[in-house]
Amino acid sequence: MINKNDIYSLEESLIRVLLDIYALSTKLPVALYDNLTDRLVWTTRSEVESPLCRYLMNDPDKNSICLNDHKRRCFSAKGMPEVCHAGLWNIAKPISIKGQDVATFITGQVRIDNEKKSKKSDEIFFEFIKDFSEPEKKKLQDLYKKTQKVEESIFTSRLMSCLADIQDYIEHLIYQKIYDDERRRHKIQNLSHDFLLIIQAILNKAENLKDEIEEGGRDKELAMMSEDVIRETLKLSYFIKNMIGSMMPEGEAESFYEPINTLELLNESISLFQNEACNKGVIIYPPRLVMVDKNDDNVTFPVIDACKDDLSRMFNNLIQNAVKYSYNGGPGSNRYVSVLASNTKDEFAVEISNYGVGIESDEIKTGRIFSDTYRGRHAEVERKTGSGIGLYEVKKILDRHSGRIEVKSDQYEVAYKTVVKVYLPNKTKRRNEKKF
Amino acid sequence: MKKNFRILWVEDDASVIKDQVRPLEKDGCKIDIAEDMMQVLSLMEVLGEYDLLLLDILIPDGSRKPTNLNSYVGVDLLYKIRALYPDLPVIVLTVVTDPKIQEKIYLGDVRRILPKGSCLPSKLRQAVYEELGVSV
Repeated sequence: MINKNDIYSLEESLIRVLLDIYALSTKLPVALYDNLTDRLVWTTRSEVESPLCRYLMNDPDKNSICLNDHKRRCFSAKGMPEVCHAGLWNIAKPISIKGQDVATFITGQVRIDNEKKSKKSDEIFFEFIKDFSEPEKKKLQDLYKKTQKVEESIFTSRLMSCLADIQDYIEHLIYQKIYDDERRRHKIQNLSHDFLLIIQAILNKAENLKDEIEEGGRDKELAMMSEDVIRETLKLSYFIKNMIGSMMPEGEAESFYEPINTLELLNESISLFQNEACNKGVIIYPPRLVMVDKNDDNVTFPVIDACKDDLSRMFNNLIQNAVKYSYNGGPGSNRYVSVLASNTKDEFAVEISNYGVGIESDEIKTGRIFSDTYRGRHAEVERKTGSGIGLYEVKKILDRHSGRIEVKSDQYEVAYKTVVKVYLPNKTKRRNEKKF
Repeated sequence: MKKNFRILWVEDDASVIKDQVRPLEKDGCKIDIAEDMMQVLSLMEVLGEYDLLLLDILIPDGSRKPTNLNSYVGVDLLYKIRALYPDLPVIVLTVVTDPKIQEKIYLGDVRRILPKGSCLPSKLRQAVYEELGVSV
């Protein structure tokens, strides 16, 4: 099966170069329509555009008519000349790989020097402009006349042969990309499997060890140490999943939605980092629900439709960051991480605050903190290590769930108070159908 | 309360994560292991004797021939089993998080997909007993 992102992630510049070569040699505009992501990639050679099309496409009230008509023709592409809604002749030619139509070339935007075809163009054009105002009609007629008229033989033979040439190159590019992506996905999956298998083996041994120490009434300290091994191993599992997530190109990872108990998930994340926080002299307070509106009935932690793995990683990332960038215990400053949630009819929000290493306002404003591998300036100075994928992953997860994020970081005496607030839609977005 | 259930565990890496089922074995459950699809198919006639199937999705088909990079043999196997044993409780333990594959698993009448890499043996034990309607 060809993935929709196979085409989307193609080297767009290479495609454009090929489209430009085509446009320059035929003097005709061309676009590649990605059937699977509903996107049009146009040639950059605007000088070949029809003046009528340029005018219509630049008019915000009319360009959707043109776009919809382009798409309609792409979806039913037959590789034969046909007339657009404004009376201009085009050819839409599908690109098929492994029997699946993945993209469509669309080219033309001309009038044809043939009596029958000219008549058809005129009829459609005048039907199209009939409801416009008189000055607008005049303007459109003028542009229609200025649109180049080509001999029918040029339109069919020369254009078709040029199209066949670049079609070969583009098909090859798409095919190669699909092959490379398949191998890359397979590699990520294998790596993930190998890591997680070993982690699972350690977890099994650690928990069995803990249980059997407890059953035998033996040293409690040993049982606690086994518990630490379990916790650290679970953290490792989350790091691996984070790393694998960051290796997947944006838009490629999808989420499986199921009902999620938000309180349970928050508590799981907190318990994972509680020890680390304790060792720094920092307390992570239990999650608390704050009332947004007195008349609001949503006073409990909700069960929301989301991807459990995604949300768990998001909360882990946020709480881990809050702990990691909190200052160690000492006099005169706050030493806690708070987790406040609010629930309204539309959104469930979680606000995580800590006191410690801050983020500069320009890094927040420009969105740089959400870039892959980016580490805040203060973080770079004060904490030498860090992958810089935490907030990047959080943002990706929120985008997948139609959520949003707000970050604030203000200086308070010796530390910054940093507040990260994430919002998730509090309604069923999608529920995967199950048979039972 | 009966806890000497018969479980078939389809897992090619059982030697690495064998401790996953230790609490169940300690309870008296009998765990048989099949490492590939062919082994399971050879047991097809007696599969009804098992109380539960614990299934991995990324398993070899047993033919020792190269397989398609994108094939999920465990899903094909699940559908084959379902055709003959629609009521056999099945739990999937896998690293696969692809939602398209998860949907296919759920469509095979599976209620639980447990995440390999973060599934404690106690969680598996709890899931098995819940699936079999036994209190832990």
